[in-house]
Amino acid sequence: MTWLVSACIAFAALALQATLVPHVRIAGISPDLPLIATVLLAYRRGPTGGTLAGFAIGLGQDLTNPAFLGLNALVKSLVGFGAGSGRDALDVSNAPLAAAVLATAKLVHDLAYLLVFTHLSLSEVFAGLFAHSVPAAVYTVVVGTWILALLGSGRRRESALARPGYARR
Amino acid sequence: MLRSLVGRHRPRVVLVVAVAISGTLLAVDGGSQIDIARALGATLYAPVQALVQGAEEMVQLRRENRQLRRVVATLNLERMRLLQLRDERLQMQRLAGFAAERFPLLLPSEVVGRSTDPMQDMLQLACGTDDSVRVDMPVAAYGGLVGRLRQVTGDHALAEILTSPGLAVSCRDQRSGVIGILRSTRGDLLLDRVDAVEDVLVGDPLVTSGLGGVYPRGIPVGVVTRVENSLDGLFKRVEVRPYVDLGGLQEVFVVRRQVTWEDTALYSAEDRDILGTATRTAAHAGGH
Repeated sequence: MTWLVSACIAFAALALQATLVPHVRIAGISPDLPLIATVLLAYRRGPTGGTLAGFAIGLGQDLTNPAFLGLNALVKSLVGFGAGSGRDALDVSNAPLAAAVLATAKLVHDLAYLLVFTHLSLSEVFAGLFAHSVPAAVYTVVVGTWILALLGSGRRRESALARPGYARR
Repeated sequence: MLRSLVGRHRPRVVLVVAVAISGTLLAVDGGSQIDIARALGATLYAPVQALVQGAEEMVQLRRENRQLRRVVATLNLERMRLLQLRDERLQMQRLAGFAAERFPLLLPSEVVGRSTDPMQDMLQLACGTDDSVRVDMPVAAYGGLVGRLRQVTGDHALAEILTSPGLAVSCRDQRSGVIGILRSTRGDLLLDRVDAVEDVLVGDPLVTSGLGGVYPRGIPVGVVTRVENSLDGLFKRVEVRPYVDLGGLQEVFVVRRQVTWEDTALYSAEDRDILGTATRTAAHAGGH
């Protein structure tokens, strides 16, 4: 997958988050498409690509709300690095595993975000986690598992082609 | 050595750099954050915004175009009926010896600016003497009268609008025929010189009377919103709301001159083609 495709995925996630997602909110809870894109790109490009993708996507989000410029970039860089580092151990073509990865990524993301956002106020962090992050994680998992199943096949194909048997042909 | 170290720990190095940049951005003060976001956003998002805006405008234009075609078709049917009535009326006027009726010939013009001086409410129009436009020509919009031209140069003109304190327009109550002078007084649009005994009611439509020779007769101006007797009991205080939203004008029409009420004088060959298409569309729609 070229950098151009990665850039398109990142941009599409940001654009859809700004345009489509507000219309599919359920009780104020929406799926986190930029996070799904970060995890997807981290799985495709590894920890370095995942970190860069997370940073770029996060910065793109920060530009629309500069009150905490750098916060999304920071948190998504960490998520991208984590997801990219774990890609060999965790196969996201397995739907339950993909769901677990996305849920963990979302909760870690929101935990890190809230810790900085609330200036380490633990009561506010936990209130935010339970009131917003857990339902949002469920919604993100539902949407993200489907997206990873749809786009994740590219990763399997890349892995298969990288095997020596394929490389000789 | 440094290169090999970086190469071996590349993912961690990238993460440290990303975290360092993010942390730096977070650490700068709020004003600088907004400046940075604005500068970066303008660079990154401007082409996309232009693209999205262009697409939205295209969709809006298509919708507006479809709607306008429908309106033109309906208006054209209505016009054909009115033309029959006009011909009958003209024939009767000729028999009675009245002068021939005239019809305003319109020049569309874009509004390119608006005066910020509250004492002189003016619009700047993108037309001028090059377009055969002259001082005192009336200016109208789709809803009705806007004002008149105050200054004209080669390619620009300044139009004084109804809310300008210096403008006075002779108007007629379309229901009762009462005539008064419309002018702006301390922000209110009032129909002046209306005797206390005259018949003016809330909701009455006002049109230009044609008296004075500046404005052609019959241009819609506004509607009466409030009527009360003045303190001296001699005149009525009649408040008027203009039909045209004077604050949001983007395009207006300058009434260049008046011509005889004939198709050949009012419409160009291209206009008549459009009218022909609209007639066929309307007939087709009527057939279904």
